[in-house]
Amino acid sequence: MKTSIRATLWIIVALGLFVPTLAGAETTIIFSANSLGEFAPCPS
Amino acid sequence: MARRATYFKAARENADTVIVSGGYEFSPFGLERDRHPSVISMLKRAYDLLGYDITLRAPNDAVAFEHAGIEAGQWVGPFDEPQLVTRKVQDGSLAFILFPDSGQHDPDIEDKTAALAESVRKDGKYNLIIGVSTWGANREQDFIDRHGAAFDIILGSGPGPGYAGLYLRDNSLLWVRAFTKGRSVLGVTIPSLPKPGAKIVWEPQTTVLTTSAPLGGDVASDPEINAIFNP
Repeated sequence: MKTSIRATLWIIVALGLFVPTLAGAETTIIFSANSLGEFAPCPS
Repeated sequence: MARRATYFKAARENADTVIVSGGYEFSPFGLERDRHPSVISMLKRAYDLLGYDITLRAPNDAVAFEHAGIEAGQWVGPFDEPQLVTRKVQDGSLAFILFPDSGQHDPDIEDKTAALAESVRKDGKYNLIIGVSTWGANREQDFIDRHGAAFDIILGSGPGPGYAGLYLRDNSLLWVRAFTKGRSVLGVTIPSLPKPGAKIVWEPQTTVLTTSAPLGGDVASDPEINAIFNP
């Protein structure tokens, strides 16, 4: 019985680890340009 | 720029973030020979710390470096021929094509740039083909009219208006243009990349989301960057 419970717990943990990977991840491209050498009082 | 550093650090927590600098970061248009070398040196130290993945200089950036006697390091370009730079992300691979720039309208080089994009598409290895341009809005618009469908996204810089995201060519091309003087940083998020080699038709707010982050007072300044400009 204990073995069965432990096996079930391991399956739950494994699923928890793998679900995010299977769902895929967002890809983000961040782009900056045209700052024209401004740095003060450049807001960014 | 110190706020930009904080913003980038936060973005880095997402492993699938690629950060691109697309030109005209170092000098106002036409004033590249007027900047004191120490200013260019400070700017480069700060920009190097921002941790860009891709950095493309416009012709005036290169002149500013040369005038200041500073080594280019990771700040490449401008090129005579289009350059392919690839970046792996968790869901696939992205192809960035750095547009060559002689500072003038050049149909031959523009044809070569489109031909490279078409060739990379045929290879079928990359999920998206992204152009990085320093041509200015007029040349970019002309290029898009003739060759825009070869790309999925064009990141534009140089003279002209800024766009957080314009969908052109029946939504087959997303055109993003930087605003001037570092007023904001632009973001393009793709929830799920298309298959390698496929040409996507964008569905705004569904298959792609664009953002313009103004980086105002609610973003903390990075102390390391601040120290460069306020020693």
